[in-house]
Amino acid sequence: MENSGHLLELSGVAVGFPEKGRGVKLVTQGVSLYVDPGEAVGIVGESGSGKSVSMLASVGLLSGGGRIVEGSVRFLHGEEYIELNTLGQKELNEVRGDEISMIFQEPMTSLNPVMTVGRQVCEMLVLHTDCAGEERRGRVLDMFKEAGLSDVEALYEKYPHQLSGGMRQRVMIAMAMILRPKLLIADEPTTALDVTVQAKILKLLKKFQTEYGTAILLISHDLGVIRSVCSRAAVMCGGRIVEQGDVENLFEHPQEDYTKKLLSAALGKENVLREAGVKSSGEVSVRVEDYSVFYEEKAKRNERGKNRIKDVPEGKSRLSALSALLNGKTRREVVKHVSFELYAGEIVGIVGESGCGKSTLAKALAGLNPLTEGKAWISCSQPQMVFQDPYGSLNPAKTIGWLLTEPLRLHRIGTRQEQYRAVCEMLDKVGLGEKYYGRYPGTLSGGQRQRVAIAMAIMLRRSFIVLDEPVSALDVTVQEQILVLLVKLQKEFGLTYLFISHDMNVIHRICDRVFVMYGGEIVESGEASQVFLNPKHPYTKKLLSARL
Amino acid sequence: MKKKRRQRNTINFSLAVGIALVSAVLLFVFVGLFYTPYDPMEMSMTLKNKAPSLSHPFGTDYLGRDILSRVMDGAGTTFLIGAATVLIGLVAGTLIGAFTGYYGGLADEILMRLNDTLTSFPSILLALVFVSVIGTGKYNIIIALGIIFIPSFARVVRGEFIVQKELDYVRNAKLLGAGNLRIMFVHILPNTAPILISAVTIGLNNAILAESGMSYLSLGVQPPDPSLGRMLSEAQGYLMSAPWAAVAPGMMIVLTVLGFSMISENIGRGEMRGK
Repeated sequence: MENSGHLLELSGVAVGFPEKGRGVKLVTQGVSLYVDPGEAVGIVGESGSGKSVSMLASVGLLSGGGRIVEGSVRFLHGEEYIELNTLGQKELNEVRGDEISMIFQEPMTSLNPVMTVGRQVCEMLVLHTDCAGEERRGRVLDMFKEAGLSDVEALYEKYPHQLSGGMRQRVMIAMAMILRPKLLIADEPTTALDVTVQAKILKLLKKFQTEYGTAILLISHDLGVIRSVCSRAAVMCGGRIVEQGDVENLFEHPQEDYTKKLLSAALGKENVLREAGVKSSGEVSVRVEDYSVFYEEKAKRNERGKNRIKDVPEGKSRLSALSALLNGKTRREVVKHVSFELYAGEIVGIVGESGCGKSTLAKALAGLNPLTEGKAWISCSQPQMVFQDPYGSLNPAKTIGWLLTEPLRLHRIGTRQEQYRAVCEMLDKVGLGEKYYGRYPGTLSGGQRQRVAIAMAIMLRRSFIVLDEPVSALDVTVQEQILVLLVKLQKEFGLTYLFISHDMNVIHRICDRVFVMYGGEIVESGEASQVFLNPKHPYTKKLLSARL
Repeated sequence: MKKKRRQRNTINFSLAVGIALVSAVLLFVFVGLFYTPYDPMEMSMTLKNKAPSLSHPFGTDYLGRDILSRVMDGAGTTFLIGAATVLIGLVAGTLIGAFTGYYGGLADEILMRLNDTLTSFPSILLALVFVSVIGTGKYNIIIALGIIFIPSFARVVRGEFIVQKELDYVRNAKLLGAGNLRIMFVHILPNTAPILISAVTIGLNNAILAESGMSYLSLGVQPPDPSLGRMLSEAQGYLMSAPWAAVAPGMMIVLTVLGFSMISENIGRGEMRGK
């Protein structure tokens, strides 16, 4: 075979899974792709588009009996090519790790929980090199340092659960890079991480690419991630590559409809759903003053007595201090003295990374956390809420119809006939229709479930609705549909939304005003367009720069 | 379509066998309520310890009573006691488990420690203690065994409630204005059904075995009334000369327990697949 100079070459790869009975089910078809030495190539697509499957199959890591049924995978090994798909397990093991390494999405499950991380990285050297003893340890420690980890001596002896998500992913990268492989396959390496950590990890990958000349094959559903690392990219949809080419070109002048759709769904900068300067009536819908929310947690043993009394907020009676002392619980202030007003008919976003207190604030406003201080006044009696996980927020034992009728039943609204009609009407409004009345949540997709959850929140016609990460668990294209639906319903019913999200793009698309939360406080607030174009607070700037 | 059906059949083969066994046994008992070939109490000195024959398909026991008739009658008693026992355990256990799991706190702590105390003794021993206090007999056995079955149901339901109450659908129900009782018994309880069904089938097994054990020790059903355990204990003395007297009630217990086990195992597996 001629030497084309490519490091990895997939030609016409079709991956199939055996089906019960007979035959194979093809999940990808005709995937052709190459990676040159030292190049960073991205594969982008929705979940289920076959992007991970084709890469895993290429290096023989597919479970469930999946295998390459057509096409070939060639890898430049020394001077000549080897066909990865025809290699035996033993030869494949030698190439993997040594010359090809991988990092996966979930750093918790891809590290062995009962082995110290140092030992695990060491394992790579044990398997593939001759170095031993102190030299081995030294190399691991050096690698940790290079991967941007600090206090490496102590880290060596730690177990994965003692590390944060970002640190675990750095350990994974250290493990993948310690043998200086020629190719690194990164499968959604930053999806499970916070935006700010995400940016650092990507920077690290980029650094290794330029310093070691390692080629990177980056699989992601996030166009921003692909754009910041890769020079070339392929777009996958339904098991095929629909478009590939230079990243800048691909993103500036997409040819295929699917690419355009992905781009508009993901970037959405010019595609704000709300017209700018929608003037609300000025009527106050929610007023929050000096509002704090607490969590009660069991004191850790070594902290007992130390923080307990201190943590009880000032102004509280001694009695509560005493009760905190007695049952060994401490109160942690998660939301710290926030004040704001929402006006009727507004969509206001709260953005921040996980742990900043935005969800806690949302739940407290909906009345799900009684440990609050300060004033919160809401114009309607009981605000409704839409939760992040559409799989947990609908009772799996009830039909959709029953679930939507429940609020009417609880408040004794209408006769059975009227209730049925109201529910069917609502199903129509959220784009599902009457035929979903008798179905169970288990038979619905994530997007459909979220529509039901939204319908449930609107059934009682309360004017204020809290949306806690309502689209974060969904695919980009479904995300888009749900956002459009939310805006439509907001107009139709004159609702006020408090929209919680960690995703700046989503917030930008749907919100009139935005609050940026950091460490339990609102650090910046203003018109959405203003905050995005002209961020004032350093944390907001960091969030925005991490976006792309 | 065809493929799908075949797949389902292979998976549920043992479930089908289990259902077939249980319904055959139930049918047998049901017929026994209205018709038995002979009077199960009728003794005959001339027919003592006769081997199985056409007129007595399972033979006769040491008092010349027809074993087939006695098994039909006795299995009915055993099942009745088993079902009543499980019902007591199920209702009381579900109530206790639901309240303790949902509310937690001090009451939970106290009831669960009580639960631990009950489960820390061998259940038969505990039943013996109860029986020695409240007396022997069919109804006392039901009460004694019923109380002993409460902890296992309470524990299962409590565990499930603790998991479910943290799910967002419960929060959603609260926001919609549902009260605690409604959330517990209308929203959460149906979600414990899969796990309760397997607990019930396992419980039925244990109850049938426990009744047999108690009657074997002459603390349950009193002579001359038959029950499966009673018959086994009576047959024991003649195991060498008239083994058939033990075979029929023994088989009955084995088939019933096997049938329920197969059903409960499949329900458990189906639940896991669903997730």
